[in-house]
Amino acid sequence: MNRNRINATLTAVALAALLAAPAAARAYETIDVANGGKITGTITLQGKLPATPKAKFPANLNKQDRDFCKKKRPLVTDFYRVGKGKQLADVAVWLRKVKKGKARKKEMGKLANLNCRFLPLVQTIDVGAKLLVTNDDPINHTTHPIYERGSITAFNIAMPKKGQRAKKKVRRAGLMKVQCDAGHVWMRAWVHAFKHPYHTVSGADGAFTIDGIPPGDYTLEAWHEKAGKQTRKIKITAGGAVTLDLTFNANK
Amino acid sequence: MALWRRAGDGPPEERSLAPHFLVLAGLTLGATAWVFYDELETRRPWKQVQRRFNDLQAARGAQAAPVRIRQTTNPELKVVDRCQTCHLGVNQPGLTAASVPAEFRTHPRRKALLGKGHRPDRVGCTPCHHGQGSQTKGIGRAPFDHGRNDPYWERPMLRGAYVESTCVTCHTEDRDVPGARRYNAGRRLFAEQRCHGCHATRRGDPGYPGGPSLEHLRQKTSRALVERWLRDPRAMRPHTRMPEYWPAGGDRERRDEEVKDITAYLGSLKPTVTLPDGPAPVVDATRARQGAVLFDKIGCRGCHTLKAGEEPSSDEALHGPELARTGDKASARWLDAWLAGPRLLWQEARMPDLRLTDRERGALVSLLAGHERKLPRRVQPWPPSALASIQRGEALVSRYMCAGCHQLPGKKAGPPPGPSLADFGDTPASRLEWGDARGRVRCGDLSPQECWTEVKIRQPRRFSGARIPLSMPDHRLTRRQARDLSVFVLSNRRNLAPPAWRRKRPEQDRVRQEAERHMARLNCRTCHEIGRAPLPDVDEDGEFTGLWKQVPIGGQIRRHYASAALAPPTLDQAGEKFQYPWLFDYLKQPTQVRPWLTARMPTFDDVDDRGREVMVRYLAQRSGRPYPFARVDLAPVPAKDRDDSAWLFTKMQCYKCHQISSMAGIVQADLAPDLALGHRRLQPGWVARWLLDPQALSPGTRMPAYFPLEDDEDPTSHTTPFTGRLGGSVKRQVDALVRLSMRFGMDPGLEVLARMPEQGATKE
Repeated sequence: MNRNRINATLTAVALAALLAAPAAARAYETIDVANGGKITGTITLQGKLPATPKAKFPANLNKQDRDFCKKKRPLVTDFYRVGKGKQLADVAVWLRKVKKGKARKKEMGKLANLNCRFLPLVQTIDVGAKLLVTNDDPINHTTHPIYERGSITAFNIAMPKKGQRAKKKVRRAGLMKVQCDAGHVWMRAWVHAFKHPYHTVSGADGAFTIDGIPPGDYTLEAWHEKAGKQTRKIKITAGGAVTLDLTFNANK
Repeated sequence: MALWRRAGDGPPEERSLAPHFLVLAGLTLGATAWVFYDELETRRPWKQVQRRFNDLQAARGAQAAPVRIRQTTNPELKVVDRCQTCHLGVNQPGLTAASVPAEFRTHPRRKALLGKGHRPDRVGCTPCHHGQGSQTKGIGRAPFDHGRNDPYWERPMLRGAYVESTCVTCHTEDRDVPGARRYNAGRRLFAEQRCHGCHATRRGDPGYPGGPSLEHLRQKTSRALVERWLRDPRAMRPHTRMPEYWPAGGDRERRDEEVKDITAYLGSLKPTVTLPDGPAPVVDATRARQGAVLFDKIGCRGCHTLKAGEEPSSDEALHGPELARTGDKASARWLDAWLAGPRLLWQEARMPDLRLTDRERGALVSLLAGHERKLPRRVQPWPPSALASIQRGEALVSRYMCAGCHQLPGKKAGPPPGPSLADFGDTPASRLEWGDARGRVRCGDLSPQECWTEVKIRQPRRFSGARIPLSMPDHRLTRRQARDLSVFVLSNRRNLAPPAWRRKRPEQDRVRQEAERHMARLNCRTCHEIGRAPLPDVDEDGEFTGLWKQVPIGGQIRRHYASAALAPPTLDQAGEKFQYPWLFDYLKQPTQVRPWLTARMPTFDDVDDRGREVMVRYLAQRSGRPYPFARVDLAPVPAKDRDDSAWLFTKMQCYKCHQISSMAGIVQADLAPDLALGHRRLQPGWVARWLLDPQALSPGTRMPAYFPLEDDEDPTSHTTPFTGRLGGSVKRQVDALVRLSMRFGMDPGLEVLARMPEQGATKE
């Protein structure tokens, strides 16, 4: 049986290698977008906010971490950051599988360990850009992003020292959930990595903007860690601006 | 008479012409004879072949071969071969193109085989390929066919997969013959299908137990279920290895009669071990829910599937029976006894001991006893049977050789009851029994022996006749499996190579083969990765990311756990990671190393100390380490560095995840293994590698990298966040941490560290 499996694996290798060959041709292509379109919108939340569940420190957490984190009240288990008009922040918005368009900036992302939580909670980043990880707490944190698809660890670094910094390159597209393995099970952050530059995250006012889009038909996706994913078909014309307001439901 | 007279004897007019005529006639005759001879000689098939070969050589600019017979003789192997007279390219590289005629091509496995023990100039071709080696032309007027059309030649030339059936002539010690895939598959199939329960062979692989013990059927299940099962085992468990004794298309009425009688007999058996008395275990929904969680978490899924129709995640998940419809199949009382001690009920049980607590056992019994019940519970599960029926049943059980696979009370282990296959490969075609199918079976270009064996395996009742009642069941094998099995069965021949020509199995191969056999039997790979293969990494769009990932072989159970850190650990670097005495002890009596894991390493009673030793040895061998383990006594940290290393240990906050059980004061987290085990459990070199790059050794681990890379592209550019101590040198710091961690549990002086956490790591 084992031998069969090894053969199967080797066959898979050969197949995958064949599939991989034309991959280079399908990579993102930068073109000059002179009169690109633009999408703007506001995201709001509908429905009653769920009650914040009472969080507890795990039993195996050491005293020092417990004392520090208690002071900073980091045990935020509510999943919705909502403005006065029910505008929803921390929603990642992107266009699906864009193959060509404006140049990628590869702007450095930031992920801080601050007061026993990760900041920001949700961010988007270009593949090939670097992620600056910092620790501003006097306790040890580990930063461990795992790709949701395939449970692949991107990296896992320890930050035992206050003020420590590290830069890590994002090599692969996909959604990563970041966790801290030092017993801080409540800590979480989400990093979406894309091979194209058409992605953003809604701000505290629920607004988002994506611009410089070559004319054409696109699929827009919006993702919230609790309220799920929404998809919209949109048409972009040269120089046109599309307004797209989205509503998420907290009680679905 | 004049012609014979000497010159000068007769008159001159008579003398003048006679000698000339004689010479001329002689010359003409000689020339004609020569022309005929030469024509015949050049027309010899092998010469024509050689000329064609030389044309081919000339076309590719290679040297022509002289036209002559090429004969290999080897008196020890009793070989006289002229095969290479025609197969001139067999040992020449480069003649592989499709345009090269088949008879001139390079041997398809020349590189792997012909250079080593199979040099064609020494051993010829027939030791492996059989056939009539000295023949260079057809029989009578028939074209040359390698002697396959010679009815008096009893070793016809082998083709395709069947060539592998001769490897064992010399590979007498090898369990798996390197490179002989079909033979190896057949040998494994023979063991898995439990053919050795009924048939003796020269080199079967006993050790695979067959079906379960039939001693406790009355307590385990109901009569209706046994009858259902016997009639059509696959309807209940699609992947069962129980063969079909009444293949489709047979006499239904006779089947039902026989099933009834066999069930009557099985119900009359008196078990040698009785199930424990006492109240029946409680079965309720709450416990069943707990059982379902436990089933997913503790590791049952490594060998079993639970739901009817559930696709197994791997071959390994079919190691144990599919547990669909256990509610119909097994009573709570029997399940309880089985989970408490499988080997009490069935000596050959493969099920290991999971060290279940009473509560856990109760939960699993509740889950399984009510699982997917469809048949109504009968008031009387075993209605009484007539004595005559029981007696007929006993005769049938003996005829169908049920004891070949199942444990039956009162049946002692003896030689296999079916026909021996020890010399089956030597059976001449004339001695095969074709029954009513004689002359009606066609198998393409297979020899009669090959044809008969494949048909017999696929359609075991094909060769029946009025005189011959056949009892071999249908194992439902595919065509390919039947051929593999047939290759193995026909490899059982009397004549082996003389001892000097047999392959001495290197010790390494013995260790690997033995260990792999044990590991297959214990199903180690369902939980643990052992070995890796490279696979390109693809992202969400199916595009190659430029990274290659090393895909583990084994560890399929991981998909049932949320993350890699929560699944059973990889054993890929076990040979460089563990100290072997510790590993041996652990295999014998597993202890808890990773308290956070829900999966539990079972205690395997099914292997003895020799088996454990060979597995440990194999893991060492895979990592290229010497065995037995040479203990390295690491010197403690030098006095001058002692404070610095203690400081580092505290600053890195190792104790926050690792408990150190030997020390008062540090028993906190259980997120990582106990460091006090380190000095007995781990090899120092591995610990150093682990500290530098944990993800490389165990992808997905929760252990973070403390010495991050300066440059992501350069895997050696480690930096340390603590530049002020031990010269800011990564090497010295890692070394100090290794020395420190390997002294826990040994060196009482280290208890000074126990105070460190309270000093507070906030101030530097």
